[in-house]
Amino acid sequence: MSEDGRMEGKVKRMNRREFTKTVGGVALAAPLLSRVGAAAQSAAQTPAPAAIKPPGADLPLTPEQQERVRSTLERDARRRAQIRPSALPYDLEPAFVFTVRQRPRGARKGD
Amino acid sequence: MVGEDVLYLSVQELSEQIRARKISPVELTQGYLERLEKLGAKLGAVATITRDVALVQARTAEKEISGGRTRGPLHGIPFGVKDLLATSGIPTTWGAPPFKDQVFNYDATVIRKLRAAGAVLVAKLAMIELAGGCGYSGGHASLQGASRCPFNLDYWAGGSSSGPGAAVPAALVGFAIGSETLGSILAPSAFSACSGIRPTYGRVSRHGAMALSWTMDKLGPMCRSAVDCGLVLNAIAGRDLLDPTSLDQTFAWWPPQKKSKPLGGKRIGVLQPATTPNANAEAAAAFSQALEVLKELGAKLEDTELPEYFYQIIGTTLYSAEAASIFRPLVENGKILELVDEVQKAGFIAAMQIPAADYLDTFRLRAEIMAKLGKMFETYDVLVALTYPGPAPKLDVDFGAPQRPSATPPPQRGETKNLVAAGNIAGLPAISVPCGFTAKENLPLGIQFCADAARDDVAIEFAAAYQSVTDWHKRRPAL
Repeated sequence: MSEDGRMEGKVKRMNRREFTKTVGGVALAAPLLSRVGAAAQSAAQTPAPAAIKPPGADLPLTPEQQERVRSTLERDARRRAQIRPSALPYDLEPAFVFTVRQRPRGARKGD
Repeated sequence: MVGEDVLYLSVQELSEQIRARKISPVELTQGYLERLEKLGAKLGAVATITRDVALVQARTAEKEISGGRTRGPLHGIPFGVKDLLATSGIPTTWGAPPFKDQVFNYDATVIRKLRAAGAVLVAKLAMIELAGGCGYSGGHASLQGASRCPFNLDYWAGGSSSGPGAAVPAALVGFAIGSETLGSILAPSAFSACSGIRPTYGRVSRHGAMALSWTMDKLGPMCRSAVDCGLVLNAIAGRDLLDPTSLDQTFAWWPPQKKSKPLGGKRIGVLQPATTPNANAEAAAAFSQALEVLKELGAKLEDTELPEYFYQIIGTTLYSAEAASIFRPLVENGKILELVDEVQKAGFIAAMQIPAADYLDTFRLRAEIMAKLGKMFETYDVLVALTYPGPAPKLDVDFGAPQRPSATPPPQRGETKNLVAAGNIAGLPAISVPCGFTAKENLPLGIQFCADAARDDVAIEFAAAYQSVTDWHKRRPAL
């Protein structure tokens, strides 16, 4: 570990695709493992699928409105698929606390 | 009684005449109130005319000014606000039927600041319901009905700050306050020939404004000149403890001394209009002429492009997810079905199902976009582009209708020219000012100047320089 507390040497940078491969294996295995020990319990505790509904699912929509919601959901899902990043660095954190930062005056390059 | 010529004056000009006691704030207020009552409905610009409040405030201003006390350039100037700002005791409808009887018992910070500056509230102005929420099918999507472009009443005024868009260039108010999440100040400014600024995110307190997106909402002035935008922004900007996202920076901008080359040595990154078959030739020609003007003012111009991202999709995902959280009760209690527009209803219901991972991914992309756009401002003082690629749509156009076969195909790899969406995602300031009119329909066209974060002053400086040698912003509609 360096003086400023960062790990050195052994930490391998991993791109998003590699990370997905690694974590994906665990994610696939996890349900199987949990099923072995908890099959009996889960049947009693897991709510029936019909009970889990998104907000608005019970609204009294006309057939036209239902169709419009369905097509909007499809359209939006298609659009969002376009921006799902495949090449973002693994360590790129979201702008959780959104504040704009003022660039110091005179920092412009290339004059 | 003041005449129409006086009502069309800029804030700067009105202020000079009020201070010189050539214009009475009470008479000026009466003049705007009468014009609001005469033309407000015709333009679909008004939610509520605040006659009683206005006359009390105008008399106070007149008394103070007569007594030698002046509060600054907005003292005695009548204004209107988009009907999403809370005003104590006056209806605040958010443009939506479920909130038609809503009355707050407090004032938004912007309202408080404008009252402190001596300005006179004459009207709450129309808006698209819930500021456009999760999409809408056309200009009619409002409790107040469609707002019309004052230069051609068959066309939309733009939205979602539709009322300010219609009211300001028609001289129904001295200036107005609009709000923008993803284009709601810049669109009506371009479509109706306003000068409107979207300030840096956090520059103006959002306290008391209807929230659509906590991380993207901005409030800003819509005026008859860029100089006026600066004067109004002076009054409403600043840190507010009631809005934790407000910037802890002072803002002050005053009209610069006149120079022959006010943009000498300044550098502009130019986003040229798309050259698709569907591009609007008149808008492109107006933009080219504006670039020539900027060159004559001394600026150095260089073509550039934005980093390639799906800005529109990122922006709509960001604010739709936040709007879904904010308006969840409206969906759960079924009142969402009282909205005017079917597209808006479906949009809200669908937004409830945006995956959290997708929302967070847009925030990760946002971090990248902010860094990359910030880099561009190491080279350029401002980025300039057409505010929108063409003029306002006709009022009967359905935004949700399938595109015509000849329309521009959706981008496959990302957009490089959508400065409105990119600037909103990154929280950057931008001002739109008129740069021409179409020949046949007499529809306004707008040019935008987008500056680095917190450099609202730079955006205004460029627009003011442009308007110092052009007169598009002085055109009056025939009403």
